[in-house]
Amino acid sequence: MRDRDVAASAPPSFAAWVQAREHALQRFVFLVSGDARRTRPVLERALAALHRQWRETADVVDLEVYVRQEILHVLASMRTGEQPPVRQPRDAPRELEPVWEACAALDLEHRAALVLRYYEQRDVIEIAEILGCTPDTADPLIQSGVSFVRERLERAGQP
Amino acid sequence: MTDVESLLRETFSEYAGRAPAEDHLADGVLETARRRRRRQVTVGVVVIAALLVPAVWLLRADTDSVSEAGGGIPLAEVPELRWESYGGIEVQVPAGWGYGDLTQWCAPEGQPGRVTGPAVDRPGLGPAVLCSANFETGNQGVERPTYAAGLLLRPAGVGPRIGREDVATGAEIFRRRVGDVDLTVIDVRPALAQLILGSATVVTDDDLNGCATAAVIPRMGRFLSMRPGVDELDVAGSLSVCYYETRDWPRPTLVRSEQLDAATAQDLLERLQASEPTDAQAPVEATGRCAETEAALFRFWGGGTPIDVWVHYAGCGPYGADDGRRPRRVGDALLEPVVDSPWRGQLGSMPPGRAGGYGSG
Repeated sequence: MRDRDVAASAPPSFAAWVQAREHALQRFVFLVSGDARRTRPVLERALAALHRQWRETADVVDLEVYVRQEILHVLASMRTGEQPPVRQPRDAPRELEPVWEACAALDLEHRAALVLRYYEQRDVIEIAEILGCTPDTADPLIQSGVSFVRERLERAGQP
Repeated sequence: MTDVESLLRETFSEYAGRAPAEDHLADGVLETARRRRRRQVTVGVVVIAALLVPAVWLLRADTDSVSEAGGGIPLAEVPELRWESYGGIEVQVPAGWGYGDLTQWCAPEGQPGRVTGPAVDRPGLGPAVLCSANFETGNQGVERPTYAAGLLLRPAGVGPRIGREDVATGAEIFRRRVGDVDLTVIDVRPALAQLILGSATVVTDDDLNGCATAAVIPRMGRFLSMRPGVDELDVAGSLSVCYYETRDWPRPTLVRSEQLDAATAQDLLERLQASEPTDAQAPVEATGRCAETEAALFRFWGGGTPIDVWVHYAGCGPYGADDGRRPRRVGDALLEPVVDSPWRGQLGSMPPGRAGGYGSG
């Protein structure tokens, strides 16, 4: 599931790097934002920022972390009215809808933390790096996110 | 692992399969970068000349010298921002910034339109109407205004030359040219100015409000659309309003845009559907000067293909709304969202995002 290993060595070019990850990054944006329609514009903004710094950053920073930081900055900088609404895809499995909706009620930082932990299976140190906080902050963020989802499900009569 | 954690894994895994899976995303980014480099060469001479102005903190036009939006700033410290769309670029500003004339030229203390805090200053009908003697066109013999804090957006090469003597004590001036737009930030906070200027990007396709950055404005009654007309739309999901101008631009350029909510979109759709047909010859009621230098495109989103309606409201007419099927007369209710926009200048620090209630007509 993780794409990190793909970038074990320095990327040959921006285009090749993006091509190898564009689907994974679209999944990340979609899961965090919940809006398929804005997935591409958000990702393109983040990639444009990455490209402008490509020469300086490609060899010295973890691009997988960097691009996710940019994605979250793009999403964070959208004012409330522009925040993509988290929508229920038409063909979503019914039994998972409450979980998705509970995640939708979380703020961006919590949602991102959960996606990074439970979809991308990153450890707390990596999650902290992406979120720009310390591991001591990231761990409670994940735990409180899980607790929030649990409470929502219990209230809705789910396990 | 708890049940909830398992559910989260399962949910994310399942929903990830419903994410878009588009290819070649790098192509658009690289094309934009190529255009930026070409422009960079063009503006190089201007930049060198401008560097000689010691009173101004000059950030190189359209280069990478400005740090990118959010780059190096912890997520928690990024202020709440909103996007401004202007002239084919998008730029972020703090969400609390209003709109208004930074020169305060036409809005003395205590008068409507006086900005009360940092604001976005963009050309528009308001300042033009309010300011019969506009500072930027060069008004001799009048005391120079002091610019308030904010972001000044102007077509490239059209903006005023602002010096340190024109701003409040302690404020700095930061400039950048992106695409066809000159951006000037006046603020005491360099980091914020760099965040704003660094966020500015050329829009290659539609902006975030669903508006194309350039368009050909068809004459009233001459719009050839292959799409359905407004009569074929029952429910409007939302409405993008895209404003194009030719004044100061080599081609009709998107100068502002907004997305209106479903209720407002539906209200305007129904008003349009109820509007009288016109032969597209005689001007209808509207105010405007004699030259069609601007028009608005209403883009209704209702599920499938968007439906486009050109609204002609400026110049010598004929005015009206044209969806490519049936030209219609437009009344105040349709014109109000076009003319009475938060960017006019009279409205001071009124934030965007109006919803509902455009009066009668």
